[in-house]
Amino acid sequence: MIYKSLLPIIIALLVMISLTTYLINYVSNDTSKALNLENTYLLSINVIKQLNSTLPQILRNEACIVIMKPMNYSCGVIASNLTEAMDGVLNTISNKTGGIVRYRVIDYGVYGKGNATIYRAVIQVITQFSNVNGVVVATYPFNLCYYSQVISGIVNGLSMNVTIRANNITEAVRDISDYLMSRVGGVDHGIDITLRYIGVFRMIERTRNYTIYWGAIDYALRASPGEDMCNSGSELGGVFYVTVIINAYVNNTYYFAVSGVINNDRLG
Amino acid sequence: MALADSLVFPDLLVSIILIIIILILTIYLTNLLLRLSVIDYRASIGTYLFTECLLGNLTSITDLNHVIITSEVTANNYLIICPRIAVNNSRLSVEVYVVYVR
Repeated sequence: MIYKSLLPIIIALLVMISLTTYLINYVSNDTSKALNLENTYLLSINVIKQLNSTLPQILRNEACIVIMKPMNYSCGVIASNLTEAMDGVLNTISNKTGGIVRYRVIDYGVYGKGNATIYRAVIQVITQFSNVNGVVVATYPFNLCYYSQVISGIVNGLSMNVTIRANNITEAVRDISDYLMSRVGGVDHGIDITLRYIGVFRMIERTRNYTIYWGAIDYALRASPGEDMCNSGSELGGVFYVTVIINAYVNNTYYFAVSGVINNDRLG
Repeated sequence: MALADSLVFPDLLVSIILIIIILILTIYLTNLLLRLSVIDYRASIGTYLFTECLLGNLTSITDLNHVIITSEVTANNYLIICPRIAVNNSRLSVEVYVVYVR
């Protein structure tokens, strides 16, 4: 009858096996659920957090390009460059994870607000278990949209040829200076603008009632953010032609010259 | 004589069969317990790697012999996928670390 003492051992073993099987199912399910949650977090919210902390650095570089070349680059270029960089990163992640996660940039844009430039993008993260929408925002403490618009406005305005009427040459010189001031003035949002100009006029026609001078004005426009941000600003140069009509017979002045420096901050 | 009586057929046979059953069940139970501990191991390593990834220290893990870090998902039994985004020469770059355990 020795074998009867073995039966309780078998029963104990069977009970333990069933308990362990139950535990394994339970723990295994929860473990894989937890790992999925962790990976979903790392691939969605954590990626968006990382983009939020790295994109401002990219924006800073892009901003310097706009500050140096405001005629060729504007806000729109920043928006597409930043989005392209982000897209590249997100696609790489998607590829390397074998399509476990996919990203879609739903919306993006850049705009100037007061003294700041703001880039904003909405990203949709699609994983097996959830769809998460995240927002990436990068700001730059200078209004680049306004800057590029203002500088190209000034340069385009200065490309036009001008006719100035005056009673004498002194007045004409002052009028030219006033004209340039009106072009540069009224710029705010922390932009420093310096316009240097020099021009020589020669008499081309003279009658009893009027004298006409004609000359070319060379200018150099230096623009930069008020605070030093890129260790450089933009230098643009050009030339425009001015016809000066003096409403009098000018006796002995065949040539005259104008030159000066105009600063926008002097205008307040 | 009583001892010799109890050890004769069929008692001996039944005892041997039962002992073999006990052995098999014990081995099976041990196997289950091992599986449980492996799952537990995966869970705890996964949690550890998750926090290391959040802190950005994932690549400096060198003292865990059973952890393998690759740059791509190659099989489905990965533990943690950890993308790290950085700025390199004013360009965005990304590394994806996928962690497996042996």
